[in-house]
Amino acid sequence: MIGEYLSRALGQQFIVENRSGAGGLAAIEAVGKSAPDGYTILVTTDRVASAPHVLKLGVNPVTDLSPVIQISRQPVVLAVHPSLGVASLAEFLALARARPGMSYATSGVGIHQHVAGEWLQKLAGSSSRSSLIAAARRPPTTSLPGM
Amino acid sequence: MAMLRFLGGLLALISLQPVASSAETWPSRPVRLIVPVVAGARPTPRRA
Repeated sequence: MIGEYLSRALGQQFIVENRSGAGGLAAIEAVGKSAPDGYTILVTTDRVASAPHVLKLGVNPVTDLSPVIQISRQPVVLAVHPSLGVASLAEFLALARARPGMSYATSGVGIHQHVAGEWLQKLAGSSSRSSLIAAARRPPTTSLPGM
Repeated sequence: MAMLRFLGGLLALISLQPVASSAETWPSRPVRLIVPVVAGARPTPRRA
């Protein structure tokens, strides 16, 4: 959508390249190591800020990238299977404290959802870090029903 | 409000100035927008 708009507005082709690898970090590294000529632009979530604190990154986002604009805001929501029987965050935290080892799913290690999950775990006083990391490596669509 | 922020962001993006010290008008050639994706992720199917 952004690429199409820019192409029309500026009369030049904007090519969107979906880059996978290392949970999306390969794309960040590719842009960080590209020629600083304004023709290779990173469009990402705030994983560019959170991931280096969890995973090894081949570039330093602070020195190798320059922020230009914030395009949008992305909320992080907490969703559970209806059969879990919780209807509020307080009820969920109470259940998490009563059931150590609960897992959750995100779309990747080191992204903002993962960081939010770790923060929530700290609030809950849970101590199931390893299982949470393992769950985060699985696609949410397959791991969520198994909560 | 979210749409206004989005449009504001687009306007800021199209006002980018050339990064290199060159007299050429940006962009004079195709620009690559690199988007990180997580392997295995797929669009959520729409419900009927």
